[in-house]
Amino acid sequence: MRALERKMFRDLWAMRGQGLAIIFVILSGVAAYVSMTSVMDTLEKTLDTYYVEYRFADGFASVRRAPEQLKERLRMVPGVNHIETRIMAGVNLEIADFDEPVSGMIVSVPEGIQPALNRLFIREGRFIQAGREDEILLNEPFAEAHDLSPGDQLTAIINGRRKVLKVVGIALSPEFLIQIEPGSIFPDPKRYGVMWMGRTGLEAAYDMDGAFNDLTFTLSPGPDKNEDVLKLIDDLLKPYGGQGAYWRADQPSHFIITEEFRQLKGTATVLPLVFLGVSAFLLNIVVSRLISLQREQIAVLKAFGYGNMDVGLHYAKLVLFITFIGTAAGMVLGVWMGHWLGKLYLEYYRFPYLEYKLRFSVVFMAIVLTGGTSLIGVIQAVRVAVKLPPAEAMRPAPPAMYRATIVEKLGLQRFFDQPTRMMLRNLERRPVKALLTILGMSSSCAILIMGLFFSDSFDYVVQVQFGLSQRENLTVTFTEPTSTAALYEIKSLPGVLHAEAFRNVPVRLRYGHRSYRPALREFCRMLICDALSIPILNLSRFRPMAFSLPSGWRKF
Amino acid sequence: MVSEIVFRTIGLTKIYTMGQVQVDALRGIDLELHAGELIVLLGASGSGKSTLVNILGGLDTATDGKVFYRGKDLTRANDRELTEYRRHHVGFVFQFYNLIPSLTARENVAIVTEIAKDPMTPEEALDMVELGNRKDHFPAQLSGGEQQRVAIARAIAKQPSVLLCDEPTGALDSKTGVIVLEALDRVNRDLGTTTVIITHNAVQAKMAERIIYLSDGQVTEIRLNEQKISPRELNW
Repeated sequence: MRALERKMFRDLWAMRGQGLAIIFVILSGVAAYVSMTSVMDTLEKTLDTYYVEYRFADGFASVRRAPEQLKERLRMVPGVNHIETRIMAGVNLEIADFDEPVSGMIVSVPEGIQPALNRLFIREGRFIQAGREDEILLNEPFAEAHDLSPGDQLTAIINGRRKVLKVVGIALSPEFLIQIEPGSIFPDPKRYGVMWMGRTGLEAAYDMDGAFNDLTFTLSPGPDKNEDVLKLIDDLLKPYGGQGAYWRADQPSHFIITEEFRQLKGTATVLPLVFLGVSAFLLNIVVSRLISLQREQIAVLKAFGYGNMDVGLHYAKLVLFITFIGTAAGMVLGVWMGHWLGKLYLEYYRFPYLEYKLRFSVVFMAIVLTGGTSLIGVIQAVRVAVKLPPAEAMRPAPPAMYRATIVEKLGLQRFFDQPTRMMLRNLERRPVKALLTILGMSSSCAILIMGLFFSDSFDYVVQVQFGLSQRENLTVTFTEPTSTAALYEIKSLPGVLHAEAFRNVPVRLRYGHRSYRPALREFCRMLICDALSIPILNLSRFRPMAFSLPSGWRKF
Repeated sequence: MVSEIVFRTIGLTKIYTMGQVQVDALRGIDLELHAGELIVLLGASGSGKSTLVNILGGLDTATDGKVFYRGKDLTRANDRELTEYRRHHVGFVFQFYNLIPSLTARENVAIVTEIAKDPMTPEEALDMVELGNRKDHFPAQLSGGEQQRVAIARAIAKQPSVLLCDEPTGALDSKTGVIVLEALDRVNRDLGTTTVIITHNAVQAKMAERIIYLSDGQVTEIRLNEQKISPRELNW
């Protein structure tokens, strides 16, 4: 090992405390970057593969009751490749040893065969046999929440009739990666579950013989998803109570999952950058100080024939060594965390499989990012070391330039003692540094306030949502529009203090080329409440929420 | 005796700008230094001795005038050429030794031999200054005199043509200073290195072959020392 390298390692050892701190910051940044980026890659790849392999539909539509013959006409819609009709029905369930109300969604599957679209991954057990009207497949989270497995039984209230169903398998579907009850905010597998049943059984139960109430479709390869397809489908379904076709992008599970992926991606970008920015800042401070302390050593090296490049490389190597250790350790930790995160997401998103993959480009980017930010952090300090003429470096640094501050020039110096003047002159001598310091301190203060504010604002939202707006203990959803008589019936039930009705109306908001399918339940409820002037909220107590809807909005 | 001219300066001028003040450090120096000579530059503080040596050694550049090293004009050399020049031809000894504290005596010498063309080994260089038994000591474990001898070993290890010493005994007591001067004298004799020693101590001038007096950035006198004496006989 050359003497200069020995010097580097001994310098590193001498500054091991600071070096270690920087290594930990870099390690955290790289670990966050590698784990989050690789997990994002893995999740996206898995999602894509899963969707393709299990033929996740491109579009969806619900209808009150449409004849099966309509399927042929739907298939003729230009751009549509494959159409599959089915029956979907909400049911109430009775689970042994669980007293609370449990609801579910039964989705029909063709008799004895996998559906052509939204195929099921059978995790455990077997597929439903043809003609077996009491056999069901349970979605995995629901089965796990109630510890149900093939062979177990549960009771469902199907169209008002109690029926004992036999669980024959546990399944996963690309359609229900996130299983959320319509109107809920979070998945609650204890109280809501998706299950699949043979079509014949459901047809009989819901009087849907030769009819369907839900359809999924794929598009032919090539044309972009255009609104015409949806419009044509909507036109065909309208006479039968069509509730509006929508693309995969608006499908609840897919929508939530892509939104979460988008947020994760943002975090995967911002978080490592914060760490790497801090490490660059710390390296700048440490290396600047080191170079300032080694001013004479630099002069000696130059006096004995070391060039600017040699000196620059010496300090760059020192920085890169710290960075390398941080990066290498960060990679190892990142891969480990990536596996761990992958397993965590696998539990949450319910993919049938997850193959963790670390792309070379992620490793390469981690090296480039850390090396780059570290070098950017110290480039100025190294440049000073390199530029210093040896004779000048040999002499002690000349005293820094100070001048009287603006305050003193105004003749106010008599109000300041010497230490205060030193402080003011220091501030005025390096205004950018002073400004950045103030900015840094105010940012840290802002972060602190933001954290506390976030918690408070979340409490506020919860209070508004569940303390003032959604104050109900129970929601009853009807499969068909029901007359107000049902409301009075419910009101007269023992224990019911107050009941109110609302209506869900599927709409699509359009403005120019943009369209949006909002979550309508709360929206419509408010509109209806507003329209009927039902005083469900004591809005005067809650000034920020005391708004009235623009008149145009009532037209919906 | 006619010997090769190692350095020739013509009208060498150096003006420092320190803030808003201009300092004339050198004001037209004309000099010739010969191969193998031991020269003492004598002058008070601020007379321009260090500035002159820095320019001769390629550590600094002149404001005006010329410096020739073996016929090559150093004032026209660029940064890279000056680095090469320092790497292969010049050895420096500084007042405060300027050893690298994180390297042992041997490594402090090696840092120079590793980039030189035909160096002696660090061990040989340390033996020449009689520090063969202190090779693996760090600067903090050595006395001031020992540190300065390591600095001399470092300066001579590349077998330079010129050895430039800026107040080499300035930080030492007289007894230790004599030992250091002996080492310089020995190197000058044994290796034939042109040696320039800066001092403000007139006694030390007695060991030189020529004494150059500087005052206010000008050469006031150049005196041949007919009765050169050994450093051992110096006393101050």
